[in-house]
Amino acid sequence: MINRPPSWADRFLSWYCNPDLLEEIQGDAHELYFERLRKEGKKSADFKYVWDVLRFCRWSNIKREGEYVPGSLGGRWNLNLKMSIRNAQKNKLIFCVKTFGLSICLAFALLLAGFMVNETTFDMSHANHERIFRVTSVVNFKDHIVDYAVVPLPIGQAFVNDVPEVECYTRLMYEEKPTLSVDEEIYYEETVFSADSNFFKLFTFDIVSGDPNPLSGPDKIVLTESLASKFFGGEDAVGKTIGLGDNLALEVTAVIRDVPANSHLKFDALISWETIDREDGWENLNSYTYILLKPGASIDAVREKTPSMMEAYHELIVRDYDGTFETVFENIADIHFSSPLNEDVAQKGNSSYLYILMAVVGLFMMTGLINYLNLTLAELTTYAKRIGILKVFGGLSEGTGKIIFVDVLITLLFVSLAVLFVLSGSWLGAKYLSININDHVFLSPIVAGLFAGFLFLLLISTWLNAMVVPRAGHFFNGVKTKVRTAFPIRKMLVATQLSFSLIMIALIVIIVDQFNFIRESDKGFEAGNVIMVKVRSYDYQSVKTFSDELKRIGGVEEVAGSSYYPGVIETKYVFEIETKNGREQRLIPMMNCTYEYLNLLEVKMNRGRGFDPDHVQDQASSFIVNEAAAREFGWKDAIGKKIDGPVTGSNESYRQGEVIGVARDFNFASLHEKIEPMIVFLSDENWAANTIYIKTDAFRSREIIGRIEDTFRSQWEDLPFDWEYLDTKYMNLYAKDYELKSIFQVGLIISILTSAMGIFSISALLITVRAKEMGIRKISGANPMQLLLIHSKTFIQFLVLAMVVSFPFIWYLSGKWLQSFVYHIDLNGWHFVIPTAIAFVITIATSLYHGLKGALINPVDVLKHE
Amino acid sequence: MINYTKLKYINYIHVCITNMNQKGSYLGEFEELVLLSAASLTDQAYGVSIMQDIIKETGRNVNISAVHEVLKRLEQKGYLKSKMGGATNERGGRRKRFFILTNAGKKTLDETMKLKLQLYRRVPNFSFKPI
Repeated sequence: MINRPPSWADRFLSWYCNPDLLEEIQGDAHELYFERLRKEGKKSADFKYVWDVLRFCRWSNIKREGEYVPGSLGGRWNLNLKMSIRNAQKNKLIFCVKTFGLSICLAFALLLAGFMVNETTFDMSHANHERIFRVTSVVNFKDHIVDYAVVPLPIGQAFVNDVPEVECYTRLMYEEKPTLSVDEEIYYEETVFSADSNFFKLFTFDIVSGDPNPLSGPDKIVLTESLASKFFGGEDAVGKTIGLGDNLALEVTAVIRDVPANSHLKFDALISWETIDREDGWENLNSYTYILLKPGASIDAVREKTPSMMEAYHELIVRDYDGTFETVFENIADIHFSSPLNEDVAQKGNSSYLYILMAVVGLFMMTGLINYLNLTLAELTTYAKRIGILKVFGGLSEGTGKIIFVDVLITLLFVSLAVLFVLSGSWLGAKYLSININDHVFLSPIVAGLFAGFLFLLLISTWLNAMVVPRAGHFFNGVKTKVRTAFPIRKMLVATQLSFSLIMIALIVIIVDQFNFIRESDKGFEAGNVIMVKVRSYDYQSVKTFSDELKRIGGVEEVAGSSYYPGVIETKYVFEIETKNGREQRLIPMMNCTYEYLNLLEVKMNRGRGFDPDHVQDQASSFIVNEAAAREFGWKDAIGKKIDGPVTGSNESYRQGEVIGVARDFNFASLHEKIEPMIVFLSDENWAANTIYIKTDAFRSREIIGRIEDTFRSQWEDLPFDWEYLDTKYMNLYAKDYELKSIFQVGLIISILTSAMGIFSISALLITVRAKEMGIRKISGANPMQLLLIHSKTFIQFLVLAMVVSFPFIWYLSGKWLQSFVYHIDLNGWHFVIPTAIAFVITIATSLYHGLKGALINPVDVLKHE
Repeated sequence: MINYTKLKYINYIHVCITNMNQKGSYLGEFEELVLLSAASLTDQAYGVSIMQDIIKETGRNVNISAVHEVLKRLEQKGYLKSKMGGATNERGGRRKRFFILTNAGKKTLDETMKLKLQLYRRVPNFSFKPI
């Protein structure tokens, strides 16, 4: 029998107990134990010992009391806390500026990081995203190649049948914006896809309520949550009926969560595939097809087997035109950044924007940090005094750095609060700037990591700072020169900050310049005061009646129809064209329009004439081409050249004719893209021009819209009235660029603000350090102007340094952005001179306050000794 | 360099300040018991002996941890001071912390006892009646 107290209880005691108290407590407990062992026996002694150990487990025995060391983090660190808070209260302005600067930079950086993460995590929310591939196509029309996002309808089934690696497929068909009716209300702004029944097997979209397999069978519709609440308010949408077009009634089978912002498929509703009858032959190149590979299968194996599989169908696909067809596979997560395809519904990102944004994120984190450090260093005097007082009271010199550390902890607390505040603010701002970010992105490890990394950097830099400051502590003893040791670092900091500002200013100057270029560039047509009305009717006669009636409205100057709607990819058809190499078949974008159209848009004719009702042959056999087309076909003199087409399979729509005029290039697409060749002919029964362009009086366009709507209603009672200004629509093509511009505008303000604060603080320090020097100079006969110059010289040095650092960055970053435009401005000297001038003004203006203070100093005040 | 003299001085000031913040010189019933017991045991007063003394004298069931707690508090109030004794045999070589009454403790004890006696004398049936 071992006469020892239970060892686990003993271990427990020595674990929780304050080491300083352990010996006496354990000693007493053991003494009692052995006494009880003698008197009462082992069992009782063990029990009582455990009871004692438990009773000893109280806070006063657990807590460890540290030595009292001023400035240390242990024991009495609340003293430091108190000092820091008091210091913050005393210098409210500096504290606010510090905290605000840091948090606004951090918040902005985080927001941008969120945006970046959002861009890079496109479609990764699907559980199987690594195995989902989109099938796209490359069609080779002899002389040129076109990439399409769409493929023939039966191709998915063929993959499942013939390639063992493919588990299943799903097809999507873009239904544009159909009319949906709910209890007499008509809606026509919803993006709708038809989807195969196994859509939800491939893609992960959360079904909130309803059938887990909602798309099997005809006449089914799945709504997103926001659409369901728009249609039915708070009621449960499942089971309700929605009308589609004129004669279909769809049953709502499920409601899904809204499509996340980082999904390349954006839709409000899905209709089951069988609802709409379609030609599902191989020649119908119209569906978006996604395949799911079996787990472990590689896409390369599928790629290998595809050519042999496609052999059997190739003939069917290219039946209507002369060319070859190939398939391409892209992983669903790569779609966002891959090069744009024809007829793609996916929202494409631009990786060059991403690089720029990445640079801006880094920039902002650095700016925030530097600014904070700068302002902290500016408080050196206060720190030196505090450390001095602590030392007098016996503080440890190693502990003094911790004063700053505690200061930082307090700041961090405020910063975290402020960041939350600013983030929620900028969150709204982002919505306003139409930057779409998925909410979950902010919880992603990258953003969190960035945040943590920033705080870590801040702490590290604070430690460094803390090591500098005690050494400068001699300041307290009157040895002011020591402060200058921290000076080169600060110079660098301010110079870096200034170069950030320079970069921001330069980029914004360049962006604004490019936007002016876009606005003023010769689009080849006049977009002002033109209203477009989209008519969803293919009835030639009623559209014609409508246009004629519109002409009678006062204030309407001209009405024309066209098949073209800006922002939508041009329809391309095969034409037989007389080129310099003889007759060739080419796929060319085309457009049909009424007689007035080119006049309405003020498209100038380079050669030949426009369409004229007096020339009877124009209606059936005249074509107008643009300059790009004339170049493409190698025509010196285009007039009279033969064009036959378009080839569609039906004879009525086929025209044989010749070119009567060459129009100046008019660019409906954004300047990101090259101007494409275009063939224009007159519309008739077969070629309906169902976008009506209305040129109005400049001052009355608003009230005219109401009258246009009345006219529209009298013609078509239940069709949606869908109108837009042409110039607005045109500028919408640059939405992404506007996004970038607004990000930079906000960034510009923040960066100028922070660097101004930096300059201000350093000039304040400079003037205190050099006060005596200035006094002596003044006595020796310097006038205030000279002193001001001496003061400003330092900042001019900063500026020169900043210029050297920032110019290469400006050149590189702006080049990246400008490259995304086919037509863009070239960088010139002004893009560097203007930012420098602005930065110069800011630098001088912010340093002037203290500069003047120094220049107007009374030498007696600074030179007197006690 | 650590300046120990200054450090101690600051420590002392600190102790004074913390004392000022505490309840004051009021003694609880159990505190009084422990203080009396510690005083009576003179140089043999440590946790276990005080506990046994109280058990013996009052017959109450007292837990050692409660005694420790009160001792700590009394030391903080400045009524007892303590020092570690030499190594011992009976408790695995662990040292005992011995408590000694301070002047302040003695004064407080005197005062409380005096007060109690004063009050006790006022009770009619038991008081001596000087004629």
